[in-house]
Amino acid sequence: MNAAAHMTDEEMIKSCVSGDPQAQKLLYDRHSKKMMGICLRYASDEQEAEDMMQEGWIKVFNNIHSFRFEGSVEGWIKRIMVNTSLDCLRKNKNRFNLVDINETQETIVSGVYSSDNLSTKELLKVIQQLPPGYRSVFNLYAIEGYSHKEIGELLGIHENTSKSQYSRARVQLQRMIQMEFA
Amino acid sequence: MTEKNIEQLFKDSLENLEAEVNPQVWKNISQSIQVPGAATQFAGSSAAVKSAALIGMKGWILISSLSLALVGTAVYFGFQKQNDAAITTTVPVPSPVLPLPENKNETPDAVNSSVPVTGSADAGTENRKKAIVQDKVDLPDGKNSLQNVPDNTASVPSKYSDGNGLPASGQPNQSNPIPSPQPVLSSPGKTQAISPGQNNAPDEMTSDSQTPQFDAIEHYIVTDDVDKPVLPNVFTPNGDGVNDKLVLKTVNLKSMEVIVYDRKGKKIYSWNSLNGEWDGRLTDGSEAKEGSYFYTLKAETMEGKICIAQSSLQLYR
Repeated sequence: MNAAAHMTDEEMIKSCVSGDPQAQKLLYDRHSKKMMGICLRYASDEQEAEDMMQEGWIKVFNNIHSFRFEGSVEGWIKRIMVNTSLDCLRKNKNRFNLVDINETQETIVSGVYSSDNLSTKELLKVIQQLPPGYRSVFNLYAIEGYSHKEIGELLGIHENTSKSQYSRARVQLQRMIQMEFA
Repeated sequence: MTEKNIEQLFKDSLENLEAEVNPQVWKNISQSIQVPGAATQFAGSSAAVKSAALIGMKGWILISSLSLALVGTAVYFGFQKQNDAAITTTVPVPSPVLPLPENKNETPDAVNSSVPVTGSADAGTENRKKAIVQDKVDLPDGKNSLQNVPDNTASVPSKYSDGNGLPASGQPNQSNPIPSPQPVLSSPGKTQAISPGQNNAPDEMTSDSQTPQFDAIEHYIVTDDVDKPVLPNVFTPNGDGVNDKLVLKTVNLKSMEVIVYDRKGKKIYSWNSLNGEWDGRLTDGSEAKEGSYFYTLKAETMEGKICIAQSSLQLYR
């Protein structure tokens, strides 16, 4: 590759603002794998994740002029990806929002797990099987590190709703792990 | 460390998850990115021109030029305010000291000198006129000069429509009744877009009745239903003997060609016979993923009529 490959994120952003297709591709190549990882966590399957990727990156490039260079580029793109993923889930919710109420009534089982026999791929599969609402809240709280208050604002739900969704998501994850891998 | 909480377990393995991306995704993205540089610069144009130009602009330009749009919005509301004042004269007089966005550096002297004494409401109309005259003199910046606006009366409220103008109450004349620009500010974009259109609406509606009607109706007559194949939109090729294949039942057809596409628009399977079917496998024999697909079909009836149809298709296993 040429010198363009050694550009910093900031330089790339500037080139992207002026519409340089090469810089756009470089920026995409540099961050796409990680962003795909994020989308996969929020999506229920690979196709949905690809849709999220696509929409998210289009937003990134169409709004790249509004990047303020205050914080990392990756953080900015990541935030767009998370928000886009949530939007996609909201749009698709009529299709997949089936929750079996009985499954959520279980009492909390002991919360300690051995990670030795659980691969990333298996954990991803488990999280993708969660209903979208639980999945969003679990992702946002446990992995992204948002507070319940922030989640409430992001999803347009009450803080306490976020809390209860989260604890149910947790219970269901535990059950799923036990059933699949115990 | 092999034992941990479920949160930690997921966080550790999924937080920095990276995954290969289908190259098609980038293709789609690069095709959808807007070409930059189309943004129009408004600086220096008159308020009237701005408001006219903004009607046809897209939303993102509206947002980026929000502060400029406020000026134009106020022009519209200015007429209404003026009308109200003419009737009742109890409308509080707007303080004309409020600087336009581009004009924040204006010296306090210039600002103060243009403030009329507006303690009482019934002196409103008089003071408003004074203010107009003084504005013309005091505003040093050609961009903001009111001369661009043809009608003086319309231009007055444009001064107080600026949200930044409220600090003017911190000036010596705090007793000034501050006009309430909030209704204007609360939805500047919407008002901006709608108000000119409303004026035009009655003119445009008058020509509607001339649409030819009989021709249009003929297009919607549905021909023989029997010709139409049933278009299934879901099937489950999981080997349980129920709905394992996509089959199109047909009546009265001579030939039929079906093409199945995936969601990216890629052709993945096709057949060209009346009793063709799809078992959910790609041409290389691998199983197609669960998800949405589409298919089109082109058929010829016994009478030689060509029918074209399409449907979405859900594949579950």
